[in-house]
Amino acid sequence: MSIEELIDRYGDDILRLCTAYLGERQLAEDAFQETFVKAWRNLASFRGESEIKTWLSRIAVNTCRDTLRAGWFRMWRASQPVDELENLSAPESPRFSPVRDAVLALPGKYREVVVLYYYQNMNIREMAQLLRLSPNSVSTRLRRARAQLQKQLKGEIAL
Amino acid sequence: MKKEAFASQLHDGLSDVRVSPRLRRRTLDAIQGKEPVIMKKKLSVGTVCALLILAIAAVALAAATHAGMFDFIGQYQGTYIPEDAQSYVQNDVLTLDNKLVSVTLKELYYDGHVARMTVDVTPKDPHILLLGVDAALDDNWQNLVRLGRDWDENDGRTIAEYAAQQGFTSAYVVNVYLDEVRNGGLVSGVADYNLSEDGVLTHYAQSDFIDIQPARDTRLHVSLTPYSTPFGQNSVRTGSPVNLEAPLTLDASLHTRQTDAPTAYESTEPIDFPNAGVRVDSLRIDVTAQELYVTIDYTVTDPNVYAATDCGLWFEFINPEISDAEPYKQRLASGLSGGGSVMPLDSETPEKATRFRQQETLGLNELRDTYTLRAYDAWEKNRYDTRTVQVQAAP
Repeated sequence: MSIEELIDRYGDDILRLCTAYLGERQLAEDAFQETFVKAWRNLASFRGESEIKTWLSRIAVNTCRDTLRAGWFRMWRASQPVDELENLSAPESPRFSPVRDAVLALPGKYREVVVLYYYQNMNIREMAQLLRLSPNSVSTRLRRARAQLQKQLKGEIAL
Repeated sequence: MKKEAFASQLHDGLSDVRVSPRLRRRTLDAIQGKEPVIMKKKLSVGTVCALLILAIAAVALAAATHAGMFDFIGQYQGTYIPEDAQSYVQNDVLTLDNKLVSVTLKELYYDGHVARMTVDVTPKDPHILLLGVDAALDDNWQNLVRLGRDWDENDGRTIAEYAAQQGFTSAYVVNVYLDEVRNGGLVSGVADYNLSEDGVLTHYAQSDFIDIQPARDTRLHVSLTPYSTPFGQNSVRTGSPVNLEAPLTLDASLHTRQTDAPTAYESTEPIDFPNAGVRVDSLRIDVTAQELYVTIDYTVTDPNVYAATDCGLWFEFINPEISDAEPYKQRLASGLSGGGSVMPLDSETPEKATRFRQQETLGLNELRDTYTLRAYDAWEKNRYDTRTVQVQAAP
């Protein structure tokens, strides 16, 4: 499969994952680009041990995680609701979706576990492995994230 | 709502996120080497050597003086900091003290719209580690000490590991805020921090107020939330913060540039942007000592045309003398407060609104009598009409 076919077939899903993970469209696009560049560089070594979408998702998650951990991201995230880095300037997604908005409003470390658990359907053990945290830490973060979501959604959910 | 239902709503909420033709092309260009890949910066050995000398000097300075307001603001790209910006900042405004720490409100700036401050928190016991407001013990410790040093990719120590190695016996998360944070009187806020080598944590806070007031009486709060010890995976914030607080008067007259020049400018007439389906009714520029506050009110004149922007319309302030080959480089410099927002004026939801207000800041160096505005779709990155707008001193 060519890289163009990969983008056309899986691109939307990967961009959504990056958007949910990073909470900013421009950063998500940058992570998307980096994901497919990495995929292209490693396409020859992909052995088909997992589904290709799972493989791409794993690359995207690692890329987003690196972005989230970089020092500059915290400042940019906190200070620039509208852009600066390149050619962006995206207000938040305009369509009304309280669940999406509540997730995107979470601090990065909580949004990360919510996205992996709910959006990527990973279990605690897989998340712990990926995030290099203990299962207890992952569970704690997930519990705190749920509490914040319930507060933001005014108790409308029982997660 | 159970897991599946929640996940389904999250998927649905993101279903409008799609790969644009531009992003597809940009990605393929990057793969084919036509466009630089956006990854972490790699520096040449020569550059690293040159920067190393600067970094050593910067660290030495930081250790002696600790981070200042403009060290934090200087991290933002495209922000204009006036040369005399520091002269409008109050220094050493107040001090607080308890058995754990001494606190100095080291720098304060207030212009009615925004308050910015830096607070130095000094532990009285060298075995106390002070953490920034969003730090956790399993974060990389380098997040604490970013100013004046480069990120070391080979240093993966967590804060807990760093604390144990350095002999810290307790840790507190420091938060600094004004009354308005608790009372909902802010549009937005910025918080950042930096830990110096001598253990002093400098907290930077920017508070953007909902209402503009020349002066306001508020309170400064400093909270220290302890972590349980010993440090490790199971260490948690124990939830009983130690609080310090003091009354604080913010007075914009102490931070005002003395000049006879007008402090506000307004557009002279409405301007149509037919390809975006809107009309700019007014543009207002408010001048403060450190930046320009911009307010654009606009009305939808052609709902069908406007709908194509999918509520992603943004007006860019551009320099038309710069080539539009790289349109983002045409943008005027931002003010210190950065950011920006679009609010509907006649409805709670953007989809139903017909009148909007865009607010942002520009650098103080961007004050002029004619501005060039370009309508821009932030979703698809389409650019529509470009118009010039005359402004004159507001009555």
